[in-house]
Amino acid sequence: MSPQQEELEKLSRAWLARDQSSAHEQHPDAEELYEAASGNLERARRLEIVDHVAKCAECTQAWQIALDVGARGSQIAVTRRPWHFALAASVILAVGLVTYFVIPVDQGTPQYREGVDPLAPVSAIGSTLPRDRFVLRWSAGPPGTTYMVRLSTADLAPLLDQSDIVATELVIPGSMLANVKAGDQLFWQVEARLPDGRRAASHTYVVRVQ
Amino acid sequence: MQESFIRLMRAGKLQGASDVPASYLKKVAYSAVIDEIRRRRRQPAAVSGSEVDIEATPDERPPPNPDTALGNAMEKCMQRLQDDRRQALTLHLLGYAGAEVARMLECNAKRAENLTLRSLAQLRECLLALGLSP
Repeated sequence: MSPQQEELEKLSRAWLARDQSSAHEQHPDAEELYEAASGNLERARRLEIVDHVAKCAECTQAWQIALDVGARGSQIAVTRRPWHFALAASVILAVGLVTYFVIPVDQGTPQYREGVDPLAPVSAIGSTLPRDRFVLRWSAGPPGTTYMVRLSTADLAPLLDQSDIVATELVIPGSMLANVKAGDQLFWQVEARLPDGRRAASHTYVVRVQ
Repeated sequence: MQESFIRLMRAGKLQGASDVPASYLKKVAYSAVIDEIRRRRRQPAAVSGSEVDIEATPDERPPPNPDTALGNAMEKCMQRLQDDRRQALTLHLLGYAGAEVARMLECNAKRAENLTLRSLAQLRECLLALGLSP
């Protein structure tokens, strides 16, 4: 990755992590945000919304979710940032459930998103972990692979974003889960940085805190 | 999620799965999820006094995210930019490439690139003045 790309990654991540304020004027409604992200609104309104997003962390995240679920559509092609997994996860779940209700699906056949790298890590844990032994585990990549793990609450609040992990497991300290209630769901994803420099991100997994 | 389903029913689009375009489903699901996230964020945390351990709470808080301080400073710096530069930089930070920024701003690619580069330079200067480096 070039220094410019690294800088952009850092800036984009920081920009998305900024504090959310409730002091904003009326937020644009969700449908308008989606249309603006698609480039479909008329220019003046689209730029009004861009201006609002520039000073509203909440709508920045909402815009990012729109991109992650495909608002870019056929008109606008946007570089996807893999660390937006937590934001996308809820919408992916929503779309999945809506599809479940609308379109009959063979119950025995797992449904996967397309385009996952075959070298992407795969979860090696169950659906529930005890709070005092909360260890995320995943399948190993080729020798020399390092990993980045992201963990967030179901409300999309980031809990952890740790990179340069050499092992294929990560112990999450109890203190980090202090505000997570028993039974709450967390989203997690692991991204492998392969020896040849490529990155391969896993699916977003859901794990419940016991 | 249930709200998405209800919205679809209300929209009268559930007579057959083939009648419902995927793009429509996406937008409806997206709107429902964003509305729900916003609704939850507006709800005050309901914690009774007896459940709060004042002595223990500060030690158990997760460490502050270093990205947040940088992000907050970026927001302030971006508000000082000219409108068109701020808009270009906002789109750039959202992941739009040069041609897409141009399309969103309805200007030519060269101008979009100039706006983005100049706004980035101004952002760096502003952050440095605040003692932060990107």
